[in-house]
Parts: sequence; structure tokens; C-alpha cells
Amino acid sequence: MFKYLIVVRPLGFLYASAGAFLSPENLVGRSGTKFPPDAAALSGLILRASYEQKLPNHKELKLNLTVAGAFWAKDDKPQDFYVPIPRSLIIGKENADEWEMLDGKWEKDCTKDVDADYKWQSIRYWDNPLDEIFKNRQNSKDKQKHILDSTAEPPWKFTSMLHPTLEKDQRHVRLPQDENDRGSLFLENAVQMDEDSCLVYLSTHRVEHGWYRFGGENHMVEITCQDLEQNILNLFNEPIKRSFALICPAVWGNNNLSVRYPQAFKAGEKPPQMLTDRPVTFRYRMGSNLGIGRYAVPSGTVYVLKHPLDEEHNTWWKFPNKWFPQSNEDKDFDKRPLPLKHLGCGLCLPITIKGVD
Amino acid sequence: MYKKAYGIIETLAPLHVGASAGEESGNLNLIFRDQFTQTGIIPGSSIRGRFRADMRQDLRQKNEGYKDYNYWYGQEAPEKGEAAENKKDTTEALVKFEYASIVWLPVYCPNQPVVWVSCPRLLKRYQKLSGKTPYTFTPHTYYGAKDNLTKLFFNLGFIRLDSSDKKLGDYIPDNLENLQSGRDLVLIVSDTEISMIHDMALYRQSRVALDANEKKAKGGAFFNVEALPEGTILTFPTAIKNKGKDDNSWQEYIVDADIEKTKELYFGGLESIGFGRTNVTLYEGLN
Repeated sequence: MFKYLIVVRPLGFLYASAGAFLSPENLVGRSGTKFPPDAAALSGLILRASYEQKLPNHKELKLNLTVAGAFWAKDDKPQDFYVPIPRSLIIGKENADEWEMLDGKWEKDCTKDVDADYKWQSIRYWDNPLDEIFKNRQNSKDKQKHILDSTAEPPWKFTSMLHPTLEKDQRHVRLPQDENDRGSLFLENAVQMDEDSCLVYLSTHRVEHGWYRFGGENHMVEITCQDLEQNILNLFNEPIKRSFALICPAVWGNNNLSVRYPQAFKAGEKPPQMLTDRPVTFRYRMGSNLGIGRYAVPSGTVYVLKHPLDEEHNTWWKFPNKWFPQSNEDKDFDKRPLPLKHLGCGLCLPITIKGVD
Repeated sequence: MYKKAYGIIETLAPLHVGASAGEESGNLNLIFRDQFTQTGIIPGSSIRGRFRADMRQDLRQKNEGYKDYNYWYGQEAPEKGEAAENKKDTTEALVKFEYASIVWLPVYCPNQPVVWVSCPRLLKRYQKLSGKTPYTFTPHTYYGAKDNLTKLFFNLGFIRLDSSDKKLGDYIPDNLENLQSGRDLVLIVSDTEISMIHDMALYRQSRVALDANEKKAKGGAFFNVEALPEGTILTFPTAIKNKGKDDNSWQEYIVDADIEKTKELYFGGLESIGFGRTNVTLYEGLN
């Protein structure tokens, strides 16, 4: 089970991958923008640090290290971190609504037209009634300082940074020498985080406190690590009955095929009921090898199953590796890619949906 | 793991770091700004470039016993047309820089005449980088000499001086040419006020070249520029890749970069008209 909370505080900018469409000819494509860096980035960092310091338990670490994220928190309260809101709740600035089950179908109030202004909610309010979450959201009118916001806007802003190469002998951008020379303009799609905020990941292992390079483009962060509070652990140990929501993107299936839910969620021929969105890309690099690109079910996706999950699989932690690609249990430890479950794939928590007993 | 260090930049002339010639269009050259406070910054890549160019031009580098700039800042990819065989592979830089943000900004106000201003958010970054003890800064507290003033007259209105806070002195770096703890007036304003005051404090100039025969601007030779004023104090983190406890890369680096003491360095554009002169001092962080 997760034991530690890993807190990442940027020392400057961070890099947000700008996706596939950013080129000198097209500086407006933002469709693939990805922030915060996913758990794979931190998992690699921890393994690398252990390898460099030649720690004695490196093999154990490589076999068992499990990291999940990314979440974020206010700088002074990292344990009250924010996770994606389940798609069954729609929380706007002015009003809120939720999806419920009626006769096995999703229903919501058609008279209300609510835009989901908030995408993140505090873990402390997980599975609280909608009224309660809505009442304590950010910017509520009669707010007192010490009340934790139940929902909040993410504390980062995107900004573009130019990094031109200058000529060796004069302060002028290096000019292209011929038509094949792409010139030297490099536009970085950077992110600046609020000074009062941090990124948060869950981990099974400690990492030494200090400054590390993180998330691309040589950006530096300060990493600290603390024990997870018991009540958050309890939340992750809460058994899932029929309905749950993802707080990390999920790739289910096997090495050749991604599916939207594991076979185990099926009841006969009937798939589970879902609330989801378009798939997100899921890809990471190990060393210099870029893994195969896959599509993942986005975080916030809600599943409602026909039958409660069995006792042996009723928390994410108990989900078998083979529900995820790259289970690779038969491969040698140095040769296998990490099982996706070790990257927090599909981390989920039980929720209550009205109309589901 | 990286060794922690940080730098302090004191501007000795206006400093303009923005998009360089050929990148911007229009005739207003803006400086790079922080997204939250809208105050000026120097990107990490500009700081790195300046340090790297200085090491490249350092004649001592030719001697035995010095590691060259390719070692510290990473080997570049071979340029087009260069034979690739006499180039080594690219390597990763051992020294990393992040952007510099303002710590204290000098503002002119008629009855003072200069006050250094900062806000909690900017000071918090300085505190984080330098490892000083965390402290809650209260807007409108001040520290330093003032003659019977109860409020300051800024261009756009008055700011009331609330109470003196000796703690602010700990957040003023030592050995600055312009700002001295206790002698000069420093003032905290709130995170929302700083952007307006910063805009007031910027050094602005219209620059024009006249036609040789007529009294009109030459084609394209008219633009406006803004710059951080002289006496601005900024801070940036710098990290050095570290292999373990008895690794002395840091000492080697400051010798190779010739920056054991405060060093004069130029940043940004318009150097030809006297912009960009600064003093830079590196400090070891609390590792």
C-alpha cells in the first residue's frame, strides 16, 4: 500500500509537453498540452536516484516501487491534496448538479444548465454529499480563511518562453544558414506554478529530500517526502462495492489491446455503466526508449457495475496486475518494463451514486 | 541529486531582458514577466547563456587544469556543415539555472525619494532558495530610516506605513552597492499591489534614429523599450550535479567560472547604450 506522500515544489518553471502540433509554423496548437507530469516521471526519478547512490535494496525497489499521481495541494497543507472530480458531479461557480441512476440509466436534471467550472476537489471531501461540496467551494461568499476549499482551480498558468540561440560574436539570433536549417528559435511551452502550491504524488517508497531535475527541459524542483496520514490510507482501503471513480487515467487490457474496462467488470454480456470523456494519450519513456503510445480512460471516469466486486479485488491495491498491460510477471527483473499498475494506472476510490444501492 | 546554491543579481544599470531583435514585431519591446505578480524576470536560459559565454571567452580556459564550458554547460549538437566526426556526442549540463525573480525593486516617490518594494510572494521564493527561516510578511510593514513619514506618496496615490519590522533586514542580501539593510527604506506591499507599483517603477525610453537629411525617424528605427531600473535586486536558484558527500564540483565550478567573489556580468539587450550591467554573487545553499 502507499505509505508516503511525495511533495514536489518547483524552483522555477516546469515544462508542459506541448503535444504533437507545436512547430515553428504553428504556434497555436495546444491540444496535446500535458501538465502535471504523470507518475512515470517521478517513478523514473526515484529509480534513477537509487541507482546513482547504489542503494542496497535497488532490486527490491525496482520490483515493488509504485507511484501514483499527479495531484496538487496548497503548500502548507500537502495532505489535503486535490484530485480530479468524478464525472458524476458537475460543480459550477453558480450552481451544481449530479448524475444519478434511474432504472439502470443515467439521469440528471435537464432544467439545470451547469458548466463544470471546477475539475479538482479536495480529497477531504471525497464522496461527501454534493450540497456540502458546493457550499465550501472556492470563492464562496461567507468564506472564512481556515476552511479548506472543497473544490479549487488548479494553481498553475501556462506561459511561453523563447530560448533563441545567439550568434557567437554578437547579440543577435543565429540566422538560418540555408533552407534546410531550421534556425534557432525554440519556444518552450512552460508552466509557472503559484508560489503557495505544490504537486503531490503517492508512493510506496521514500525518496531522499533534495533538489532534482524533473519533468523535462532541465527544470529543477525541490522534493520532500512525508508519511501519509492514516485517514487517507483508510480512504484507499475502503472496499469498492458497485460504483467507483478514477483519480488517475487508466489503461486496461493487455500488451496489444487497450479496453475501457477489465473483463472482470462485465456481467455476462453486459458492460458496466460508465460516465467518461474522450480518451487521453498515455505514453512514457524508459531511458532512451519511448514506450508504445496508448490511449487511457481519463481520470474522473465513473464506473457502475452490476455486481459488487469480489472480496479479493475490492480495492485498487488488490486489482491484479494482469488487468493492466505489461504485467510481465514471468520476465527477468532487469529486462521487463514496469507493469503499468506500478505507475498508478487507474487508481480509483469508491463513490456513492444516487439510485445505486 | 543536486547541490543547492543560489545567486543574487544587483542591477547597476537598466536591464532589459525580453524577446530579442528579430523575434518581436511592433515597436514596443517588453520585458519577460512572472505570470502571477506581473513583475520582471530573467529566464534561466538567459542566465545560463551569459555564464556560458563568459566561460567561453575566458582566456584562462586555454590552460591546463581548467574544465571548459562544454564540460559544465553541456556539449552542443554539431552545427550544420560541421563535420560530425570531430564533435563529441551531446552531453548534459552539470549546472542548471532557473529564472531570476525580483527580491527588492527600487521605486521613486517624491517625498522619500527611493523606496525598495517587495511582496510576500516574491520574498517567499527568496526564502525558499536561500534556506532562510520562513516568515510571514505583512503588507505595509517597513524597515529602515524614514523621516517622520506616515505615508508614502506614490504616483498614483498614498501608501500608509503601518509598523516597522526589523525582520525584513534579514531578507536584504549583504554587500549590495545601492541597498543597505537599516539605512534604506524597504516596504512590503500585497501581492495584488506589486504589479501596479512595478509598472510605475520600470525604466522606459523611446528610442529613435533620425534620417541623415530630414528631421524624421529612419525607417524602422523607432521603438519603445522598458527595463528594470538600476538598483533592482533579483535572485535565482542554481544547482550543480552532485555525486556524493565528498564531491567538490561546486568549488571547482566557481573557480572555473571565476566567480568566487561578486562578479560583474552583462545581461539582456541594449548593452551598447549602457543597459544590462549587473553584479552577480553566488551563495551556497543549505544542503
